[in-house]
Amino acid sequence: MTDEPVTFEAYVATRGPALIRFASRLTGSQHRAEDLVQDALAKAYQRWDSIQRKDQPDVYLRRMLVNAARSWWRPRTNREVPVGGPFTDKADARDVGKESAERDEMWRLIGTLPPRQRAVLVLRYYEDLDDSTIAAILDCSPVTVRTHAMRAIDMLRRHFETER
Amino acid sequence: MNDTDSDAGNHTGNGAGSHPDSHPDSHTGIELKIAEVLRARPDAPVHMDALRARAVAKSRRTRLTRRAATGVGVGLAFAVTAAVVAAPRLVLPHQSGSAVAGRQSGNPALSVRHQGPTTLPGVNTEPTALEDPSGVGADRGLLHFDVDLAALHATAVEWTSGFGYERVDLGAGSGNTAEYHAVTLVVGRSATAINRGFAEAADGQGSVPAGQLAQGSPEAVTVGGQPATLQRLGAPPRDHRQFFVPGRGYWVLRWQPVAGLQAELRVNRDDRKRALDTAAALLFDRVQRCLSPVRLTSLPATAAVSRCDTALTRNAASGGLTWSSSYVWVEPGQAANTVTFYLSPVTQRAAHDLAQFHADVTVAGHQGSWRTADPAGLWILKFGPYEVFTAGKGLTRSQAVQFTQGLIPAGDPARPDTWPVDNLH
Repeated sequence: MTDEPVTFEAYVATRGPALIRFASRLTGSQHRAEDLVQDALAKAYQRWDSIQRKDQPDVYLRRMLVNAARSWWRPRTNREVPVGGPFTDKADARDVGKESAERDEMWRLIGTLPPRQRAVLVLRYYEDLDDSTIAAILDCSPVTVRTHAMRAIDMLRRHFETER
Repeated sequence: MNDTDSDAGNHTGNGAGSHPDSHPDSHTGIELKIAEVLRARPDAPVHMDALRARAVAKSRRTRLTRRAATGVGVGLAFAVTAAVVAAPRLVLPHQSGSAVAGRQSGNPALSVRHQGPTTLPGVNTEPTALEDPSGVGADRGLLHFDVDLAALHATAVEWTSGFGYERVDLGAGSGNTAEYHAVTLVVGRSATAINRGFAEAADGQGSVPAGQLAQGSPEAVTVGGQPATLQRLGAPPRDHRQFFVPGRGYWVLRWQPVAGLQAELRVNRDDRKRALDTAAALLFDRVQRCLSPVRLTSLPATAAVSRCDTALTRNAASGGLTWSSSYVWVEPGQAANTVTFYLSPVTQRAAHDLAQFHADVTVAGHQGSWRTADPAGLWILKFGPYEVFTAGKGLTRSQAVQFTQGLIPAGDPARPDTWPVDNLH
Protein backbone atom coordinates (compact mmCIF):
# COMPACT_ATOMS: atom_id res chain seq x y z
CA MET A 1 0.00 0.00 0.00
CA THR A 2 1.34 3.39 -0.95
CA ASP A 3 1.79 6.09 1.69
CA GLU A 4 1.05 8.79 -0.81
CA PRO A 5 -2.09 10.61 0.33
CA VAL A 6 -4.98 10.36 -2.07
CA THR A 7 -6.86 13.58 -2.51
CA PHE A 8 -10.62 13.54 -2.43
CA GLU A 9 -10.73 14.83 -5.97
CA ALA A 10 -8.40 12.13 -7.24
CA TYR A 11 -10.33 9.42 -5.47
CA VAL A 12 -13.64 10.54 -6.89
CA ALA A 13 -12.19 10.80 -10.37
CA THR A 14 -10.75 7.31 -10.31
CA ARG A 15 -13.20 5.42 -8.13
CA GLY A 16 -16.38 7.42 -8.46
CA PRO A 17 -17.73 5.59 -11.51
CA ALA A 18 -17.13 2.25 -9.83
CA LEU A 19 -19.04 3.40 -6.77
CA ILE A 20 -21.96 4.40 -8.91
CA ARG A 21 -21.97 1.09 -10.74
CA PHE A 22 -21.91 -0.65 -7.38
CA ALA A 23 -24.72 1.50 -5.97
CA SER A 24 -26.80 1.02 -9.09
CA ARG A 25 -26.74 -2.71 -8.57
CA LEU A 26 -27.63 -2.29 -4.93
CA THR A 27 -30.61 -0.09 -5.64
CA GLY A 28 -31.64 -1.05 -9.16
CA SER A 29 -31.61 2.56 -10.27
CA GLN A 30 -28.90 4.71 -11.81
CA HIS A 31 -30.49 7.86 -10.50
CA ARG A 32 -30.79 6.57 -6.97
CA ALA A 33 -27.25 5.34 -7.20
CA GLU A 34 -26.03 8.82 -8.04
CA ASP A 35 -27.98 10.25 -5.12
CA LEU A 36 -26.52 7.72 -2.72
CA VAL A 37 -22.99 8.17 -3.97
CA GLN A 38 -23.32 11.94 -3.76
CA ASP A 39 -24.51 11.72 -0.17
CA ALA A 40 -21.79 9.26 0.78
CA LEU A 41 -19.11 11.41 -0.79
CA ALA A 42 -20.50 14.46 1.00
CA LYS A 43 -20.07 12.71 4.33
CA ALA A 44 -16.67 11.36 3.38
CA TYR A 45 -15.48 14.78 2.32
CA GLN A 46 -15.82 16.08 5.85
CA ARG A 47 -13.37 13.56 7.22
CA TRP A 48 -11.38 12.68 4.16
CA ASP A 49 -7.99 13.17 5.72
CA SER A 50 -8.83 10.64 8.38
CA ILE A 51 -10.42 8.21 5.95
CA GLN A 52 -7.54 8.04 3.57
CA ARG A 53 -5.05 7.74 6.40
CA LYS A 54 -6.71 5.14 8.59
CA ASP A 55 -9.47 3.45 6.61
CA GLN A 56 -9.49 2.05 3.15
CA PRO A 57 -11.64 4.54 1.24
CA ASP A 58 -13.17 1.85 -0.92
CA VAL A 59 -14.26 -0.13 2.12
CA TYR A 60 -15.50 2.99 3.88
CA LEU A 61 -17.51 4.26 0.93
CA ARG A 62 -18.99 0.90 0.12
CA ARG A 63 -20.06 0.45 3.70
CA MET A 64 -21.78 3.81 3.59
CA LEU A 65 -23.51 2.91 0.35
CA VAL A 66 -24.72 -0.43 1.64
CA ASN A 67 -26.12 1.20 4.76
CA ALA A 68 -27.67 4.04 2.83
CA ALA A 69 -29.25 1.73 0.28
CA ARG A 70 -30.86 -0.19 3.08
CA SER A 71 -32.54 2.82 4.65
CA TRP A 72 -32.86 5.12 1.66
CA TRP A 73 -36.28 6.48 0.80
CA ARG A 74 -37.00 9.30 -1.58
CA PRO A 75 -40.64 9.95 -2.36
CA ARG A 76 -40.13 11.55 -5.72
CA THR A 77 -37.21 9.86 -7.35
CA ASN A 78 -37.54 6.27 -6.37
CA ARG A 79 -40.40 5.53 -8.67
CA GLU A 80 -38.53 6.67 -11.73
CA VAL A 81 -37.83 4.00 -14.29
CA PRO A 82 -35.91 5.50 -17.20
CA VAL A 83 -37.46 4.54 -20.47
CA GLY A 84 -34.96 2.59 -22.50
CA GLY A 85 -32.45 3.47 -19.84
CA PRO A 86 -29.48 1.76 -18.33
CA PHE A 87 -31.36 -1.29 -17.18
CA THR A 88 -32.35 -2.53 -20.55
CA ASP A 89 -30.55 -5.74 -21.25
CA LYS A 90 -28.16 -5.93 -24.15
CA ALA A 91 -29.51 -8.11 -26.92
CA ASP A 92 -27.38 -10.72 -28.60
CA ALA A 93 -27.77 -13.20 -31.42
CA ARG A 94 -28.82 -16.14 -29.32
CA ASP A 95 -32.26 -16.96 -27.96
CA VAL A 96 -32.83 -13.36 -27.01
CA GLY A 97 -36.34 -13.79 -25.75
CA LYS A 98 -35.79 -16.64 -23.29
CA GLU A 99 -32.41 -15.52 -22.05
CA SER A 100 -33.51 -11.95 -21.72
CA ALA A 101 -36.57 -13.04 -19.76
CA GLU A 102 -34.45 -15.14 -17.44
CA ARG A 103 -32.02 -12.30 -16.84
CA ASP A 104 -34.89 -9.94 -16.16
CA GLU A 105 -36.41 -12.42 -13.78
CA MET A 106 -33.10 -12.93 -11.99
CA TRP A 107 -32.58 -9.18 -11.76
CA ARG A 108 -36.05 -8.75 -10.36
CA LEU A 109 -35.52 -11.47 -7.79
CA ILE A 110 -32.20 -10.02 -6.72
CA GLY A 111 -34.03 -6.77 -6.12
CA THR A 112 -36.43 -8.46 -3.72
CA LEU A 113 -33.71 -9.92 -1.52
CA PRO A 114 -33.18 -8.48 1.94
CA PRO A 115 -30.69 -5.63 1.68
CA ARG A 116 -27.71 -7.41 3.20
CA GLN A 117 -28.19 -10.54 1.10
CA ARG A 118 -28.36 -8.37 -1.97
CA ALA A 119 -25.29 -6.46 -0.91
CA VAL A 120 -23.34 -9.70 -0.45
CA LEU A 121 -24.28 -10.89 -3.93
CA VAL A 122 -23.25 -7.62 -5.50
CA LEU A 123 -19.97 -7.50 -3.59
CA ARG A 124 -19.19 -11.13 -4.37
CA TYR A 125 -20.34 -11.57 -7.92
CA TYR A 126 -20.13 -8.09 -9.33
CA GLU A 127 -17.30 -6.55 -7.35
CA ASP A 128 -15.62 -9.95 -7.07
CA LEU A 129 -14.49 -9.35 -3.51
CA ASP A 130 -13.50 -12.04 -1.07
CA ASP A 131 -15.58 -12.72 1.98
CA SER A 132 -13.13 -11.12 4.37
CA THR A 133 -13.32 -7.83 2.50
CA ILE A 134 -17.06 -8.13 2.28
CA ALA A 135 -17.15 -8.75 6.01
CA ALA A 136 -15.17 -5.57 6.61
CA ILE A 137 -17.59 -3.61 4.45
CA LEU A 138 -20.66 -5.02 6.12
CA ASP A 139 -19.07 -4.93 9.55
CA CYS A 140 -19.79 -8.57 10.22
CA SER A 141 -17.92 -11.86 10.22
CA PRO A 142 -17.00 -13.81 7.09
CA VAL A 143 -19.25 -16.56 8.42
CA THR A 144 -22.15 -14.17 8.34
CA VAL A 145 -21.23 -13.17 4.81
CA ARG A 146 -21.37 -16.78 3.69
CA THR A 147 -24.67 -17.25 5.45
CA HIS A 148 -26.16 -14.29 3.63
CA ALA A 149 -24.82 -15.59 0.35
CA MET A 150 -26.11 -19.08 0.91
CA ARG A 151 -29.58 -17.92 1.77
CA ALA A 152 -29.74 -15.63 -1.22
CA ILE A 153 -28.46 -18.29 -3.59
CA ASP A 154 -30.87 -20.87 -2.20
CA MET A 155 -33.79 -18.56 -2.81
CA LEU A 156 -32.68 -17.77 -6.32
CA ARG A 157 -31.93 -21.38 -7.10
CA ARG A 158 -35.41 -22.46 -6.07
CA HIS A 159 -36.74 -20.17 -8.77
CA PHE A 160 -34.36 -21.52 -11.36
CA GLU A 161 -34.41 -25.25 -10.88
CA THR A 162 -33.49 -25.75 -14.51
CA GLU A 163 -30.02 -24.51 -13.71
CA ARG A 164 -29.24 -27.72 -11.96
CA MET B 1 -17.38 -23.25 8.29
CA ASN B 2 -13.84 -22.28 7.62
CA ASP B 3 -13.68 -18.53 7.86
CA THR B 4 -10.02 -18.03 7.22
CA ASP B 5 -9.18 -15.92 4.28
CA SER B 6 -6.17 -17.83 3.08
CA ASP B 7 -7.64 -17.88 -0.37
CA ALA B 8 -8.18 -14.17 -0.40
CA GLY B 9 -5.54 -13.65 -3.01
CA ASN B 10 -6.74 -16.25 -5.47
CA HIS B 11 -9.42 -14.30 -7.24
CA THR B 12 -9.18 -14.49 -10.96
CA GLY B 13 -11.95 -12.04 -11.63
CA ASN B 14 -14.03 -14.66 -13.32
CA GLY B 15 -16.98 -14.34 -11.00
CA ALA B 16 -18.72 -17.12 -9.26
CA GLY B 17 -16.94 -20.01 -10.87
CA SER B 18 -13.58 -19.14 -9.40
CA HIS B 19 -14.81 -17.86 -6.09
CA PRO B 20 -12.86 -19.62 -3.38
CA ASP B 21 -15.81 -19.71 -1.07
CA SER B 22 -18.28 -21.09 -3.56
CA HIS B 23 -20.60 -23.70 -2.37
CA PRO B 24 -20.72 -27.18 -3.87
CA ASP B 25 -21.12 -27.62 -7.62
CA SER B 26 -24.91 -27.54 -7.39
CA HIS B 27 -24.64 -23.80 -6.79
CA THR B 28 -22.04 -23.00 -9.41
CA GLY B 29 -24.56 -22.56 -12.21
CA ILE B 30 -26.70 -20.14 -10.26
CA GLU B 31 -23.66 -18.21 -9.12
CA LEU B 32 -22.52 -17.82 -12.70
CA LYS B 33 -25.97 -16.60 -13.64
CA ILE B 34 -25.94 -14.08 -10.79
CA ALA B 35 -22.60 -12.74 -11.94
CA GLU B 36 -23.79 -12.63 -15.54
CA VAL B 37 -26.94 -10.73 -14.65
CA LEU B 38 -25.14 -8.21 -12.50
CA ARG B 39 -22.51 -7.58 -15.13
CA ALA B 40 -24.96 -7.41 -18.01
CA ARG B 41 -26.61 -4.28 -16.67
CA PRO B 42 -25.46 -1.42 -18.84
CA ASP B 43 -24.50 1.81 -17.15
CA ALA B 44 -25.29 5.34 -18.17
CA PRO B 45 -22.44 7.86 -18.26
CA VAL B 46 -22.04 9.98 -15.15
CA HIS B 47 -20.60 13.47 -14.91
CA MET B 48 -18.29 12.83 -12.01
CA ASP B 49 -17.02 16.40 -11.80
CA ALA B 50 -20.54 17.65 -11.27
CA LEU B 51 -21.34 14.94 -8.78
CA ARG B 52 -18.18 15.65 -6.83
CA ALA B 53 -18.97 19.37 -6.75
CA ARG B 54 -22.44 18.66 -5.43
CA ALA B 55 -21.06 16.35 -2.79
CA VAL B 56 -18.59 18.96 -1.62
CA ALA B 57 -21.25 21.64 -1.53
CA LYS B 58 -23.61 19.43 0.40
CA SER B 59 -20.86 18.64 2.87
CA ARG B 60 -20.36 22.31 3.51
CA ARG B 61 -24.02 23.04 3.84
CA THR B 62 -24.29 20.28 6.41
CA ARG B 63 -21.47 21.82 8.36
CA LEU B 64 -23.10 25.25 8.26
CA THR B 65 -26.48 23.84 9.23
CA ARG B 66 -24.97 22.12 12.25
CA ARG B 67 -23.35 25.35 13.33
CA ALA B 68 -26.57 27.31 12.88
CA ALA B 69 -28.66 24.70 14.67
CA THR B 70 -26.99 25.33 17.99
CA GLY B 71 -28.87 28.59 18.32
CA VAL B 72 -32.24 27.52 16.92
CA GLY B 73 -35.23 27.62 19.22
CA VAL B 74 -38.10 25.21 19.46
CA GLY B 75 -40.42 27.05 17.14
CA LEU B 76 -38.14 27.30 14.14
CA ALA B 77 -37.85 24.30 11.92
CA PHE B 78 -37.84 23.01 8.42
CA ALA B 79 -39.59 19.77 7.73
CA VAL B 80 -36.98 17.03 7.69
CA THR B 81 -38.47 15.47 4.63
CA ALA B 82 -37.96 18.62 2.61
CA ALA B 83 -34.33 18.68 3.60
CA VAL B 84 -33.53 15.17 2.53
CA VAL B 85 -35.84 14.44 -0.27
CA ALA B 86 -34.40 14.96 -3.66
CA ALA B 87 -36.16 17.17 -6.17
CA PRO B 88 -38.57 15.56 -8.56
CA ARG B 89 -37.10 14.16 -11.64
CA LEU B 90 -38.09 16.70 -14.24
CA VAL B 91 -37.68 15.63 -17.81
CA LEU B 92 -36.95 18.44 -20.20
CA PRO B 93 -35.06 18.13 -23.46
CA HIS B 94 -32.76 21.04 -24.10
CA GLN B 95 -34.40 23.45 -26.43
CA SER B 96 -32.96 24.41 -29.78
CA GLY B 97 -31.49 27.74 -30.57
CA SER B 98 -33.93 30.14 -32.18
CA ALA B 99 -37.10 29.13 -30.42
CA VAL B 100 -37.35 32.36 -28.50
CA ALA B 101 -36.26 34.74 -31.19
CA GLY B 102 -38.35 37.82 -31.66
CA ARG B 103 -39.84 37.94 -28.19
CA GLN B 104 -38.88 41.52 -27.47
CA SER B 105 -41.74 43.99 -27.54
CA GLY B 106 -41.49 47.72 -28.06
CA ASN B 107 -41.05 48.12 -24.31
CA PRO B 108 -37.91 46.11 -23.56
CA ALA B 109 -39.01 45.51 -19.97
CA LEU B 110 -42.04 43.50 -20.99
CA SER B 111 -42.18 40.08 -22.55
CA VAL B 112 -44.46 39.58 -25.49
CA ARG B 113 -47.83 38.75 -23.99
CA HIS B 114 -48.34 35.05 -24.19
CA GLN B 115 -51.51 34.02 -25.88
CA GLY B 116 -51.75 30.55 -24.45
CA PRO B 117 -52.77 29.39 -20.96
CA THR B 118 -50.51 29.59 -17.99
CA THR B 119 -48.91 26.38 -16.75
CA LEU B 120 -51.09 26.48 -13.65
CA PRO B 121 -54.45 28.27 -13.44
CA GLY B 122 -54.06 31.94 -14.25
CA VAL B 123 -55.21 34.81 -12.08
CA ASN B 124 -56.54 37.95 -13.73
CA THR B 125 -57.33 39.86 -10.56
CA GLU B 126 -53.81 40.27 -9.22
CA PRO B 127 -51.20 42.76 -10.44
CA THR B 128 -48.33 41.19 -12.32
CA ALA B 129 -44.74 41.42 -11.17
CA LEU B 130 -44.12 44.10 -13.75
CA GLU B 131 -47.03 46.14 -12.43
CA ASP B 132 -46.31 45.65 -8.73
CA PRO B 133 -43.20 43.65 -7.78
CA SER B 134 -44.03 43.97 -4.09
CA GLY B 135 -46.50 41.13 -4.53
CA VAL B 136 -43.81 38.61 -5.43
CA GLY B 137 -43.37 36.13 -2.60
CA ALA B 138 -46.10 37.72 -0.54
CA ASP B 139 -48.80 35.09 -1.11
CA ARG B 140 -47.99 31.36 -0.96
CA GLY B 141 -50.80 30.68 -3.36
CA LEU B 142 -49.49 32.86 -6.17
CA LEU B 143 -46.70 32.80 -8.72
CA HIS B 144 -45.92 36.03 -10.50
CA PHE B 145 -44.36 34.61 -13.59
CA ASP B 146 -44.59 31.73 -16.00
CA VAL B 147 -42.26 29.97 -18.42
CA ASP B 148 -42.85 29.22 -22.06
CA LEU B 149 -42.39 25.48 -21.65
CA ALA B 150 -43.09 24.80 -25.30
CA ALA B 151 -40.32 27.12 -26.42
CA LEU B 152 -37.91 25.26 -24.19
CA HIS B 153 -39.30 21.84 -25.16
CA ALA B 154 -39.77 21.30 -21.46
CA THR B 155 -41.12 18.00 -20.23
CA ALA B 156 -41.41 18.83 -16.54
CA VAL B 157 -41.62 21.80 -14.20
CA GLU B 158 -41.73 22.36 -10.47
CA TRP B 159 -43.19 25.51 -8.97
CA THR B 160 -42.57 26.82 -5.48
CA SER B 161 -44.08 29.79 -3.73
CA GLY B 162 -42.26 30.53 -0.49
CA PHE B 163 -41.71 33.31 1.99
CA GLY B 164 -40.53 36.28 -0.04
CA TYR B 165 -39.59 34.30 -3.15
CA GLU B 166 -40.96 32.26 -5.99
CA ARG B 167 -39.08 29.54 -7.81
CA VAL B 168 -39.29 27.32 -10.82
CA ASP B 169 -37.16 24.28 -11.55
CA LEU B 170 -36.96 22.91 -15.05
CA GLY B 171 -35.57 19.58 -16.11
CA ALA B 172 -34.21 18.37 -19.42
CA GLY B 173 -33.96 15.21 -21.43
CA SER B 174 -35.60 11.90 -20.78
CA GLY B 175 -34.54 8.38 -19.89
CA ASN B 176 -30.78 8.15 -19.94
CA THR B 177 -30.40 11.83 -20.66
CA ALA B 178 -32.83 13.06 -18.01
CA GLU B 179 -31.57 16.07 -16.10
CA TYR B 180 -33.62 17.19 -13.20
CA HIS B 181 -32.96 20.68 -11.96
CA ALA B 182 -31.33 21.49 -15.27
CA VAL B 183 -32.31 25.11 -14.66
CA THR B 184 -33.51 26.85 -11.51
CA LEU B 185 -34.87 30.36 -11.31
CA VAL B 186 -35.64 32.25 -8.14
CA VAL B 187 -37.28 35.68 -8.07
CA GLY B 188 -37.61 37.81 -4.98
CA ARG B 189 -37.47 41.33 -3.72
CA SER B 190 -34.06 41.08 -2.09
CA ALA B 191 -30.82 39.14 -2.14
CA THR B 192 -31.89 37.56 1.15
CA ALA B 193 -35.07 36.31 -0.43
CA ILE B 194 -33.15 34.93 -3.40
CA ASN B 195 -30.80 33.09 -1.06
CA ARG B 196 -33.73 31.66 0.82
CA GLY B 197 -35.31 30.49 -2.40
CA PHE B 198 -32.27 28.47 -3.29
CA ALA B 199 -31.58 27.30 0.24
CA GLU B 200 -35.10 25.96 0.69
CA ALA B 201 -34.88 23.88 -2.46
CA ALA B 202 -34.92 20.18 -1.77
CA ASP B 203 -31.21 19.97 -2.34
CA GLY B 204 -30.44 23.26 -0.63
CA GLN B 205 -28.62 25.39 -3.12
CA GLY B 206 -27.16 28.59 -1.77
CA SER B 207 -26.39 31.86 -3.37
CA VAL B 208 -22.97 32.67 -4.67
CA PRO B 209 -21.43 35.71 -3.05
CA ALA B 210 -20.63 38.21 -5.74
CA GLY B 211 -17.21 37.74 -7.24
CA GLN B 212 -16.55 34.36 -5.63
CA LEU B 213 -16.33 31.03 -7.37
CA ALA B 214 -16.50 32.66 -10.76
CA GLN B 215 -14.15 31.98 -13.60
CA GLY B 216 -13.32 35.24 -15.23
CA SER B 217 -15.25 38.46 -14.98
CA PRO B 218 -19.01 38.78 -14.99
CA GLU B 219 -20.24 39.24 -18.51
CA ALA B 220 -22.67 42.05 -19.22
CA VAL B 221 -25.70 40.80 -21.12
CA THR B 222 -29.32 41.80 -21.43
CA VAL B 223 -32.48 39.92 -20.51
CA GLY B 224 -35.74 41.33 -21.74
CA GLY B 225 -33.89 44.53 -22.46
CA GLN B 226 -32.68 44.79 -18.86
CA PRO B 227 -28.99 44.74 -17.97
CA ALA B 228 -27.85 41.46 -16.50
CA THR B 229 -24.67 39.69 -15.46
CA LEU B 230 -23.70 36.23 -16.56
CA GLN B 231 -20.98 34.31 -14.81
CA ARG B 232 -19.51 30.89 -15.17
CA LEU B 233 -18.89 29.15 -11.86
CA GLY B 234 -15.70 27.35 -11.08
CA ALA B 235 -15.19 24.37 -8.81
CA PRO B 236 -15.63 25.37 -5.16
CA PRO B 237 -12.36 25.65 -3.24
CA ARG B 238 -11.85 23.62 -0.11
CA ASP B 239 -12.62 26.45 2.22
CA HIS B 240 -15.12 25.42 4.83
CA ARG B 241 -15.39 28.97 6.04
CA GLN B 242 -16.98 30.04 2.84
CA PHE B 243 -20.57 31.06 3.34
CA PHE B 244 -22.34 29.20 0.65
CA VAL B 245 -21.43 27.32 -2.43
CA PRO B 246 -23.94 26.21 -5.00
CA GLY B 247 -24.81 22.57 -4.97
CA ARG B 248 -24.98 22.67 -8.66
CA GLY B 249 -24.93 25.15 -11.44
CA TYR B 250 -22.27 26.15 -13.90
CA TRP B 251 -23.77 29.41 -15.10
CA VAL B 252 -25.47 32.08 -13.05
CA LEU B 253 -27.52 34.83 -14.59
CA ARG B 254 -28.67 37.78 -12.48
CA TRP B 255 -30.83 40.71 -13.38
CA GLN B 256 -33.80 42.84 -12.36
CA PRO B 257 -36.83 42.11 -14.53
CA VAL B 258 -38.27 45.33 -13.14
CA ALA B 259 -37.15 47.82 -10.49
CA GLY B 260 -37.68 46.25 -7.08
CA LEU B 261 -37.52 42.65 -8.26
CA GLN B 262 -34.43 40.47 -8.47
CA ALA B 263 -33.98 37.28 -10.43
CA GLU B 264 -31.27 34.66 -10.38
CA LEU B 265 -31.14 31.80 -12.82
CA ARG B 266 -28.76 28.86 -12.56
CA VAL B 267 -27.94 26.34 -15.21
CA ASN B 268 -26.70 22.98 -14.04
CA ARG B 269 -24.32 22.32 -16.87
CA ASP B 270 -21.64 24.17 -18.75
CA ASP B 271 -24.10 25.68 -21.19
CA ARG B 272 -24.10 29.44 -21.47
CA LYS B 273 -26.72 29.48 -24.19
CA ARG B 274 -29.20 27.57 -22.06
CA ALA B 275 -29.03 30.31 -19.43
CA LEU B 276 -29.88 33.03 -21.91
CA ASP B 277 -32.51 31.03 -23.77
CA THR B 278 -34.29 30.10 -20.57
CA ALA B 279 -34.29 33.69 -19.36
CA ALA B 280 -35.79 34.76 -22.65
CA ALA B 281 -38.64 32.26 -22.19
CA LEU B 282 -39.74 33.77 -18.86
CA LEU B 283 -43.03 35.61 -18.74
CA PHE B 284 -43.45 38.26 -16.05
CA ASP B 285 -46.69 39.65 -17.40
CA ARG B 286 -48.98 37.08 -15.84
CA VAL B 287 -49.94 35.61 -12.48
CA GLN B 288 -50.83 32.00 -11.79
CA ARG B 289 -51.87 30.03 -8.77
CA CYS B 290 -49.63 27.59 -6.92
CA LEU B 291 -52.03 24.79 -6.14
CA SER B 292 -52.14 21.25 -4.84
CA PRO B 293 -54.96 18.75 -5.34
CA VAL B 294 -55.73 18.28 -1.67
CA ARG B 295 -57.65 19.58 1.28
CA LEU B 296 -56.32 19.23 4.80
CA THR B 297 -59.31 19.42 7.08
CA SER B 298 -58.01 18.18 10.42
CA LEU B 299 -55.40 20.82 11.17
CA PRO B 300 -55.78 23.37 13.98
CA ALA B 301 -57.79 26.47 13.24
CA THR B 302 -54.57 28.50 13.54
CA ALA B 303 -52.87 26.59 10.69
CA ALA B 304 -51.58 28.40 7.62
CA VAL B 305 -49.79 27.28 4.47
CA SER B 306 -46.20 28.53 4.52
CA ARG B 307 -45.00 27.11 1.22
CA CYS B 308 -46.53 25.60 -1.86
CA ASP B 309 -44.66 23.27 -4.18
CA THR B 310 -46.17 21.48 -7.15
CA ALA B 311 -44.48 19.48 -9.86
CA LEU B 312 -45.90 18.62 -13.25
CA THR B 313 -44.63 16.52 -16.08
CA ARG B 314 -45.28 17.61 -19.60
CA ASN B 315 -45.59 15.58 -22.76
CA ALA B 316 -43.21 17.34 -25.12
CA ALA B 317 -45.11 16.17 -28.17
CA SER B 318 -48.64 17.04 -27.12
CA GLY B 319 -47.90 19.70 -24.51
CA GLY B 320 -50.24 17.98 -22.07
CA LEU B 321 -49.44 18.39 -18.37
CA THR B 322 -49.71 15.70 -15.70
CA TRP B 323 -49.53 16.23 -12.01
CA SER B 324 -46.41 14.61 -10.61
CA SER B 325 -46.33 15.52 -6.93
CA SER B 326 -46.89 18.28 -4.41
CA TYR B 327 -45.61 19.43 -1.09
CA VAL B 328 -47.70 21.52 1.23
CA TRP B 329 -45.88 23.13 4.13
CA VAL B 330 -48.17 24.08 6.97
CA GLU B 331 -47.53 26.07 10.12
CA PRO B 332 -50.00 24.59 12.60
CA GLY B 333 -49.65 27.64 14.81
CA GLN B 334 -49.47 27.64 18.60
CA ALA B 335 -45.65 27.51 18.41
CA ALA B 336 -45.73 24.09 16.76
CA ASN B 337 -43.14 23.20 14.13
CA THR B 338 -43.76 23.14 10.40
CA VAL B 339 -45.55 20.09 9.07
CA THR B 340 -44.97 18.92 5.52
CA PHE B 341 -47.42 16.91 3.50
CA TYR B 342 -46.01 15.15 0.48
CA LEU B 343 -48.51 13.88 -2.08
CA SER B 344 -48.24 12.04 -5.35
CA PRO B 345 -50.39 9.71 -7.38
CA VAL B 346 -50.19 6.14 -6.21
CA THR B 347 -47.72 4.25 -8.35
CA GLN B 348 -46.08 0.89 -8.22
CA ARG B 349 -43.09 1.04 -5.96
CA ALA B 350 -40.01 -1.09 -6.22
CA ALA B 351 -39.85 -4.10 -3.97
CA HIS B 352 -36.88 -2.49 -2.26
CA ASP B 353 -39.07 0.37 -1.09
CA LEU B 354 -42.10 -1.72 -0.26
CA ALA B 355 -39.92 -3.78 2.03
CA GLN B 356 -39.53 -0.67 4.16
CA PHE B 357 -43.26 -0.18 4.61
CA HIS B 358 -44.38 -1.75 7.85
CA ALA B 359 -48.05 -1.08 8.45
CA ASP B 360 -48.44 -0.21 12.10
CA VAL B 361 -51.09 2.48 12.14
CA THR B 362 -54.43 3.14 10.51
CA VAL B 363 -55.28 6.62 9.30
CA ALA B 364 -58.84 7.23 8.19
CA GLY B 365 -59.06 3.60 7.21
CA HIS B 366 -55.76 3.58 5.31
CA GLN B 367 -52.73 1.60 6.34
CA GLY B 368 -49.79 3.69 7.41
CA SER B 369 -46.23 3.11 8.45
CA TRP B 370 -44.74 5.30 11.17
CA ARG B 371 -41.06 5.84 10.50
CA THR B 372 -38.57 7.16 13.00
CA ALA B 373 -35.72 7.78 10.55
CA ASP B 374 -34.61 8.08 6.93
CA PRO B 375 -36.92 9.93 6.69
CA ALA B 376 -39.03 10.17 9.82
CA GLY B 377 -42.75 10.58 9.43
CA LEU B 378 -46.02 8.94 8.57
CA TRP B 379 -46.02 7.08 5.28
CA ILE B 380 -49.23 5.98 3.63
CA LEU B 381 -48.77 4.08 0.42
CA LYS B 382 -52.37 4.37 -0.65
CA PHE B 383 -54.50 7.16 0.74
CA GLY B 384 -57.17 6.75 -1.83
CA PRO B 385 -55.55 7.76 -5.12
CA TYR B 386 -52.53 9.32 -3.41
CA GLU B 387 -49.37 8.31 -1.73
CA VAL B 388 -48.86 10.54 1.30
CA PHE B 389 -45.97 11.30 3.59
CA THR B 390 -46.44 13.56 6.60
CA ALA B 391 -43.37 14.82 8.41
CA GLY B 392 -42.12 17.55 10.65
CA LYS B 393 -39.40 18.19 13.18
CA GLY B 394 -40.57 16.84 16.50
CA LEU B 395 -43.83 15.63 14.99
CA THR B 396 -45.26 12.82 17.06
CA ARG B 397 -47.03 9.82 15.68
CA SER B 398 -50.34 10.90 17.15
CA GLN B 399 -49.97 14.39 15.69
CA ALA B 400 -49.13 12.97 12.29
CA VAL B 401 -52.20 10.78 12.42
CA GLN B 402 -54.36 13.65 13.59
CA PHE B 403 -53.13 16.02 10.87
CA THR B 404 -53.36 13.45 8.11
CA GLN B 405 -56.67 11.82 8.87
CA GLY B 406 -58.56 14.79 7.51
CA LEU B 407 -56.74 14.72 4.18
CA ILE B 408 -59.09 14.74 1.22
CA PRO B 409 -57.89 14.32 -2.36
CA ALA B 410 -59.48 17.25 -4.14
CA GLY B 411 -59.98 18.03 -7.79
CA ASP B 412 -58.97 16.15 -10.87
CA PRO B 413 -55.17 15.51 -10.83
CA ALA B 414 -55.16 16.06 -14.59
CA ARG B 415 -56.83 19.46 -14.30
CA PRO B 416 -55.13 21.99 -12.03
CA ASP B 417 -58.05 24.36 -12.61
CA THR B 418 -60.13 22.04 -10.40
CA TRP B 419 -57.71 22.08 -7.48
CA PRO B 420 -58.74 24.02 -4.38
CA VAL B 421 -57.45 27.53 -3.88
CA ASP B 422 -57.54 27.03 -0.12
CA ASN B 423 -55.99 23.75 1.07
CA LEU B 424 -57.02 24.16 4.68
CA HIS B 425 -60.75 24.67 4.46
